Amino acid sequence: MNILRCEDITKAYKKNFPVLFHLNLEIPAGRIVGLLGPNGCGKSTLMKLIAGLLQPDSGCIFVGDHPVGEKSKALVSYLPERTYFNPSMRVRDLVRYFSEFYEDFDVSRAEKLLSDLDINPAAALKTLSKGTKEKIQLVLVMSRNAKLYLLDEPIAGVDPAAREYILRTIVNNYNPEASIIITTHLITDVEQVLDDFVFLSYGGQILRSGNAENTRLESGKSLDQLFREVFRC
Amino acid sequence: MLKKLLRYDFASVMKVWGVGAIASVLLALVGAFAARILDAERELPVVVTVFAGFAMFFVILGFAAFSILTTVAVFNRFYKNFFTDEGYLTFTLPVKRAQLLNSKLISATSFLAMTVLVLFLDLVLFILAGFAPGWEEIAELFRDIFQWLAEHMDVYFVIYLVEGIALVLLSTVFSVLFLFVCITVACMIAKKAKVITAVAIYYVTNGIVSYAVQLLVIFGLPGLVDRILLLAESSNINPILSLTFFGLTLFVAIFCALLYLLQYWLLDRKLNLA
Repeated sequence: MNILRCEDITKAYKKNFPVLFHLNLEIPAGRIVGLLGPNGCGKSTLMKLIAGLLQPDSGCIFVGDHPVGEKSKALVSYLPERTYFNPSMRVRDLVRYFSEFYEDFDVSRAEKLLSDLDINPAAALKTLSKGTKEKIQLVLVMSRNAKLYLLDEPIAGVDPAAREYILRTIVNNYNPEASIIITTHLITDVEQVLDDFVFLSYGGQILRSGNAENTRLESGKSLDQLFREVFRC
Repeated sequence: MLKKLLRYDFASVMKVWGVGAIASVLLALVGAFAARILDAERELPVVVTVFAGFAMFFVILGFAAFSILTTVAVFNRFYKNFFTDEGYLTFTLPVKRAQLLNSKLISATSFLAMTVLVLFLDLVLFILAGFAPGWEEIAELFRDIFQWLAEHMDVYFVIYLVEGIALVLLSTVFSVLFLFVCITVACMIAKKAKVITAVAIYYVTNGIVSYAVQLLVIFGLPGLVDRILLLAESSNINPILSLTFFGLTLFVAIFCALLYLLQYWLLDRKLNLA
């Protein structure tokens, strides 16, 4: 069964310059999928469309059986590139906020993960570093038992040790019946956790997609090497 | 979900508003003290009188600052929650867009109404503490009020009261929605200086609307007023007046609805958090 279905999606920020042009994509349940492509090819735009932040100019997106809206947002856990907190809140206020709005939010998991990171729940967000805020955001997103996780550049701009922590958190804490879509440029770090991949080009063209392990075996190359070949400048 | 949204919207502004409200009450007491000095029968040193005068000035400034603080806090919350990075969380919550908008509208209108109420209470406190009317004077004032009400209380009084309250409420809602739309449009068209753009849109639109109303007053309204007065001469003025107020209330309500629909459409179809 497909958890995500994108049918004929077109999205343009400026007239006659579509970022996504008649994109069709299906993601089955229970898979970790890498959405890989060069800068400006529409990866983040697609994530925002699925998350309900943007409306497509044409086409439909379904999460489970629901078109993007109130019901689909209850199934989707979205981690954007930016930190999205109200800085006047404290960490425990955020945990309460998530638990109130998301029925699938696991408070005990969130508290355990925050404790593992030595983050004081009473700490005010404005006193925390950027890296710590990003980790808190990841903890909150992964503490949900969502059906679809959208992680937009989760390991960008962090040190290698933090990258390893983030990937470990993702793999150890997601709902195994759910799917995860990860966008990233750091393919070498991420490909070890991917089940499937999608190479997205400009205009939302899917140049190549498939099972990550099978592709590595057939081609004798890593996804990173394949990416460099496909998107050679 | 609307209740939860309201709770967070109220909590986020209450921190600032609460401090402002307490400060305004304290200022009212300071003003009352200054008023007693200025109103004192015995002669006081000039420096004390000047100080009291300055204190009164700053008290009035403080009341104005409290109103401005509320307005800024409320609309700053709207802007930050919808159009900055916080929007990534706001617009991915499993709630309807209308609920997000309704929560902001209700909280903004409530805070503006509460500010007016607090300023009114400050005035009462200022009068009671500053001029120390005796209990007899207060009792006489209430007697006069009740007597006036008893003489004039009829069904039209109740109608006027209801229409008046509705008009004040709808006017507040209109002002809030108008500012929301100005902020929303500014965020959509301006890449930088969004606040200045929103203020510019507000004043330009206000100017155009004021000009249009003035033209209406010059060319359209006198005729309408003459017709109403003519009708009033030939029959009881009360139903005519209450109908006129009802018409005005309906007029404002229609514009509120149009602004609400425009704001909803902008949030639903045109929002782009870059």
